[in-house]
Amino acid sequence: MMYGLRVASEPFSLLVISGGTLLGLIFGAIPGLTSTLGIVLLLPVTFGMNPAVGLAMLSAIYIGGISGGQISAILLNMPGTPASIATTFDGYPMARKGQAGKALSYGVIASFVGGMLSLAALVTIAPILGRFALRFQTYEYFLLGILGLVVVSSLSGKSTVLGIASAALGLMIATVGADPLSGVNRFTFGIRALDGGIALLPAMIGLFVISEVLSQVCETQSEFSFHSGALDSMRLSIKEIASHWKNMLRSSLIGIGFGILPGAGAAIANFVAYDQAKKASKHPERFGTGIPDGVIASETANNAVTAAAFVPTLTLGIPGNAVTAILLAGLTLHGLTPGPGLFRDELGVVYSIFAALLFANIIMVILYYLVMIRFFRWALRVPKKILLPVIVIMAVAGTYNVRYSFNDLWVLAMFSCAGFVFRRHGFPITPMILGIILGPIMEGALRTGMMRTGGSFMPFFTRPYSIGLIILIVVSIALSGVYRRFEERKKAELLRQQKADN
Amino acid sequence: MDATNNPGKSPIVKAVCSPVLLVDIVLIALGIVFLLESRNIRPGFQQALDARVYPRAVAVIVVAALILHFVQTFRKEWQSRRRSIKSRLDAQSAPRIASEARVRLVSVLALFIAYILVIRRVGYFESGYLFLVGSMIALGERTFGWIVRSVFIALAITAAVYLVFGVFLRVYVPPGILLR
Repeated sequence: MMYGLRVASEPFSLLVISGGTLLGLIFGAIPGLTSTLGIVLLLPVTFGMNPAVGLAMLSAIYIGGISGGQISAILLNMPGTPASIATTFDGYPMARKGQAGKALSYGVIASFVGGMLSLAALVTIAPILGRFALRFQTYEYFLLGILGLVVVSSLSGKSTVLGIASAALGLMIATVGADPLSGVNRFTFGIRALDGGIALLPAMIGLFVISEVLSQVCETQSEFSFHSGALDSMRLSIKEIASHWKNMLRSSLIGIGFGILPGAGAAIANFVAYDQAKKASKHPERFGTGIPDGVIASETANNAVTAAAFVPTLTLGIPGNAVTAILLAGLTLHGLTPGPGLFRDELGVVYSIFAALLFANIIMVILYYLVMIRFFRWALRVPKKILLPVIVIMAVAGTYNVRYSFNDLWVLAMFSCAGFVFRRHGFPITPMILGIILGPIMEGALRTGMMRTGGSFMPFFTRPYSIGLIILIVVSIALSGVYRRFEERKKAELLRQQKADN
Repeated sequence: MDATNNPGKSPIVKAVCSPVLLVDIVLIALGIVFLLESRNIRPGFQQALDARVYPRAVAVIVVAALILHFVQTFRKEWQSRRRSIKSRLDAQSAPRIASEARVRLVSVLALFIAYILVIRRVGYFESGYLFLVGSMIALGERTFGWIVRSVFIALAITAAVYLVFGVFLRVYVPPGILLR
């Protein structure tokens, strides 16, 4: 551990980690650009470096990227990454109420706490949790996907049925293109451009970013995208932060759990943490109206995923998500073999990565308060007529960079128009995105599992982990129904109270 | 689009033509198209669960859930209309887009489509510059001063984007006539 700390605290390493974190923050903040793209771009630069320093830099970009997503999510209602979609639920309403500074500050502190707890989990309980996650088989991954979709469907929009329809629509979109298991073309309608399927990022950028741009184009009254036009104080008292300890701890545990499971990750963790915070709250009806609890839950969970996602990557050689998959490639390109042998043969590099994650989390907070605050103040003064077109050209660059495909730009245009229509008529977008993300994982898990059993569904109902997940799904659906009724009653009470007051 | 303001039509047509239900109808049609198309998928070789089953099941869920939502919403709407209460769908739908905003929306959308159309031939930075100028003029005031300023602001933004993407980060974007 001391070797790792020594390597990471050398002046050059600190400079590289700081640069990586700043780059990650910027990439995360720009819709369409992700930490994945940042790491891919910087990977060749690290070849000339000591593997420990190079991997420390890439890890720092990851931390910065996940945390940076909250900036555009809170200020513009445009999540920079899928990991911060749930941050928009309360972050943007807070910004609209003139509390953008507070929302960002809560987000930064929550990210820091989530990141540090996740790091503690990585260092101390990683081997135990890694062993537990390894027991999950394809049946559990399929059920885990259903659990994620159920949670999100019940969360977004006014109707659970519509949420389920939206999630299923996402799953349906994900089936377009060549079937990953048999190679058979599906739903391409003779269009060759669809053979490769519909990529997630163009669809996500279209549904969330460009559709929001189009919605803001329709708002002719306001000159600025950011409504109050100024940033309030980012200062928070220790008491204010400490009052949310339960939420932070719960969301961190959720994030760590999802981070350890390969294939799950921050995109689901932020929704589940938000849902659990809402269910555990004494005032669930206030969620979505702009309260810190929602921002804290989402941001703690998505950052808690970061270090935890290294557990399967480093210990088993199974990447926890897209970013760790690229980091895995980075390890291999630096001549290291991920897996149990890494802890035996390259312990120094492993601890350097741990130390880099520690420093990146600390530097992230410092950069937010020293550098990014100036960036926010400047960005908020940019009028809509300049800001919106700039977002579009950034989004186009981000989309094109996914696969260097012009067809993806048409996918972007199509989903932008669909997203605009959905937004205007209350059709929930979030379950659809999660459906597109989880679709291939779920189908692959289901069909691989069925291949193993020769077409029998029995393991879904006989394996203890599967039964546990099925119970969780049923409980989640039941709780959502109860909660929805409770919410409607509370709203009716509030309306009655308002009428009586008037 | 807002059928509730159209006095000539029957209440059922008015309800069905509400934008909220129209979205349901379009998506149900899409689900049915997928369901029918799933018959043309080949099963694949040696699959316990062939390539058609999962997408077909998903399409059935889409259609069923949307039909359920359509019926639920239509019933509520029908009941509220019978009780002469202001339509629920009117409240659910977003307010109508003002004519000035509609012009801006159509202009930006047209520019966006044109941007995607020409990006392959003209290049990312060059077409981006043209898009920036066009949309800044469409979104801003129609004064000579703003048009001139748009040209220069767009130039500055394109230069900044080129420095960041093209020079510093070396992000691969469609090469252009002037900038690569």
